[in-house]
Amino acid sequence: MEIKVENAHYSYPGGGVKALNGVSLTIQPGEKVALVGQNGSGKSTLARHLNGLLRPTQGQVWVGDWETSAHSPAKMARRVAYAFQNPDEQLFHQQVWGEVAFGPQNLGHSAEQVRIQVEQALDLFGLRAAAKINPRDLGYSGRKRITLASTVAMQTPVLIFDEPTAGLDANEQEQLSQVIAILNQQGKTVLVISHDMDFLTENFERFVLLREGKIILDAGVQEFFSHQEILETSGLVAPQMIRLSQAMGDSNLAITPEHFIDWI
Amino acid sequence: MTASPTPSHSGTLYQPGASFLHRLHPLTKLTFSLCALVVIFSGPGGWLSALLPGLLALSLLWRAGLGRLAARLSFRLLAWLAVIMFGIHGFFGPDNQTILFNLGPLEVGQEGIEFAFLITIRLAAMLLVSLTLVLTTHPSHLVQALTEFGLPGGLAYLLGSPLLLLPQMVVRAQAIHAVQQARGLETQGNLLQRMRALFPLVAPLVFSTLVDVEERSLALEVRGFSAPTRKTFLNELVDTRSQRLARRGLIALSIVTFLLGVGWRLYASS
Amino acid sequence: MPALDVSGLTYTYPGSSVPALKNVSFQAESGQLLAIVGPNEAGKSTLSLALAGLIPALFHGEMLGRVAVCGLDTRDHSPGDFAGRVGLVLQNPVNQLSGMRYTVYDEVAFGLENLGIPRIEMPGRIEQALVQVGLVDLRHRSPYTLSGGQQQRLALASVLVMSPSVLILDETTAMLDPQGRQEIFGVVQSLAQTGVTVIIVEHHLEWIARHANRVLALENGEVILDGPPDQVLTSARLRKNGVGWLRYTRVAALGQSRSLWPANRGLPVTLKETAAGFRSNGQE
Repeated sequence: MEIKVENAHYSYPGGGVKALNGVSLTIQPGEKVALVGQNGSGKSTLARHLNGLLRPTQGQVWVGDWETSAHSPAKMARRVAYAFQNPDEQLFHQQVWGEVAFGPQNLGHSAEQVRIQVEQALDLFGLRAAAKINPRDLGYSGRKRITLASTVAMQTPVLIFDEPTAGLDANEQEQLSQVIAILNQQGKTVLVISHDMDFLTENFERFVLLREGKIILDAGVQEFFSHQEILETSGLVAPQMIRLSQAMGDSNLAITPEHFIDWI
Repeated sequence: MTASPTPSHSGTLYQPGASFLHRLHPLTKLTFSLCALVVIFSGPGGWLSALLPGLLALSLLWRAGLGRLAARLSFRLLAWLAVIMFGIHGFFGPDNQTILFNLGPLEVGQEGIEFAFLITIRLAAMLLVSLTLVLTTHPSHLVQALTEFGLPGGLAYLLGSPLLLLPQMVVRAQAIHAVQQARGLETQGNLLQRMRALFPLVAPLVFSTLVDVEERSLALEVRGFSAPTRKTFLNELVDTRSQRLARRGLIALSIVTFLLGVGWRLYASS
Repeated sequence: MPALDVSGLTYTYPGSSVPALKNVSFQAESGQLLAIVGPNEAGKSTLSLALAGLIPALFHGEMLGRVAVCGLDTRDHSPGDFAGRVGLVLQNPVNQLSGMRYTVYDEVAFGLENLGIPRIEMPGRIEQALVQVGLVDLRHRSPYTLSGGQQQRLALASVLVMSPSVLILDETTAMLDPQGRQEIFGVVQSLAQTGVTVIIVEHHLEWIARHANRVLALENGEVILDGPPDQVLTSARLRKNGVGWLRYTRVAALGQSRSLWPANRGLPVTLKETAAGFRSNGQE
């Protein structure tokens, strides 16, 4: 499903500064896009326009043939699922299963369909065995993975993850990488907001950099990290393998350790 | 010292300033407010006992440059309440006997109107009196004053903590609302839909607030909140002999007024 | 006397049957910057609370062994006694504000007031703490108007003003963006030089590799490794247990398996070592 942002402007009520200042962006179905930039640069504001939680004060946002201003956020959730950063701001159910089923149920799927979607999502995150557990009995990373699973279970064509790696250990991050790859194979569009450049380069192809409510760089991963001055002024530190390539004077920027070794 | 850029202490009504009301010791303002409340609700002469403290509070606030704000706040809070009070008691007051006039098929009773008038005046006076304290005293100074007075630190903090936790809870509540909407929860619509939406909105608020409280209590411990030593304070709250005298005077005055009020009521009912 | 002396520490939370910490022993000297790493649920936060003197006092539960901070046994003293000796900074900056203070300056005073420090001493100490964390220019601002990184530096100043000998940072940078994280790291690096013992629970391995003197790795409540960063962070155990390896270490290990990494070199943990290793291959 294509996403189209046309010259979007947005100011928070009461706040004078423009959180979005003329953003235009087209995302093709099945793309994997990373939104990066410092806190306050407008990443989250932009992402919340894509699921209709915010509506542009000027300009338009389209998800497929839906213009977001014409639909409630609850309706937009049929097309765009959004995983927020803090699991404690969403968990309410006594059981993991019910928590993960909440989204699909809200979307009006049949009981049988909900069951299939929940089981698939739990399997992806290795939570099947925890289905009957109270989410609050799990540690932070467990609760975080429940929120990720509850987003994936909605089986929307577009998914947005806000800082999905925060609090996950290396193995759990590896698991998340696999989930993102599977979602991508299914033709879904995946957007992520994150500061974790190592994770982003290994899993996302297109990087969109925001600063003061504007897109200042929109490029494929290798081109993106070749713009060293722009990254520096935006407070971005390139991922380890890219910095290693640069330190070695390679014009080819490696994405993963495997790339680096292949090119050396 | 450089001027601070509108330091908003989120959630409180405190207005920074240096008026005579600001400079008064918090206990003096607290005593004034409490004593005035006693007079308002128990003094003789009904509405007259409410009117006088109310007017006094308003004039104090006016001299402190806060009259306009106080009047606006009170009006905003009271206007709709007054309309309801006058409506309900005017039309349906249980003591209504004397009919003032007719409004279509409805009769407006004098007793009901008088009662609504008394309640409205009392509420207005109560608000204005409280505002002399709330608008000019930062909660931390009130807590400090109570601690210095001898109230245990934990209890004083507890009295101030709803003020400090509220703004954070409002932010959380908004975040949770956004999260559950993004999961397809319809939070608008008919009463049944809203009721159903309540639990997914309230449960995370309670849980995350508990997490916050626990982390905050650890942070306070580490900063010596329960250290056995007697606390000192960075800022000195200036108290004077005349203020101490005034506080005693106010307490005495409110006791006398209370007794007069009791006598007046006995006399009026006999 | 070491600043921290932990011996045979085993601790079980009330209502739990599994100990959160098992037979933990180590000492830390003053001026040391000691990083604690471990997978989720390894016991890092529990250890932080025990070192801060809050376990067992506030959490009860069953504790065996001994924790001494500046020579004081944590079981014989209340948390109030440790305030001013050991500081703890947690994850969420907002939750560490007293919430009762109107300005950054007054917020920093809160700890001194609790310790009963004479009023006349306060301005000097507050000033110094604000200088240490670089918040002097924001002293008149409301704590609620600061960025996350600034609030977290305020939390640091609020603890530093009490001149602790031991400072514990439990995932203090987890909620910050890279800029905010760098602000905190900058302060921490300068602190260790002033003789404060710093214990830092941190996920950012690249920073640990460059700045920690020593790394303690926990797993299931036990200390599994204790040594300099280049030894601990390259151990096979960490690669598997969820802490993971730095990409630098991984790329060198991969190079090693294809003879692209010098055989006589250990695995690297910093960019510099990694680049130097690959450059020197075949020349040595």
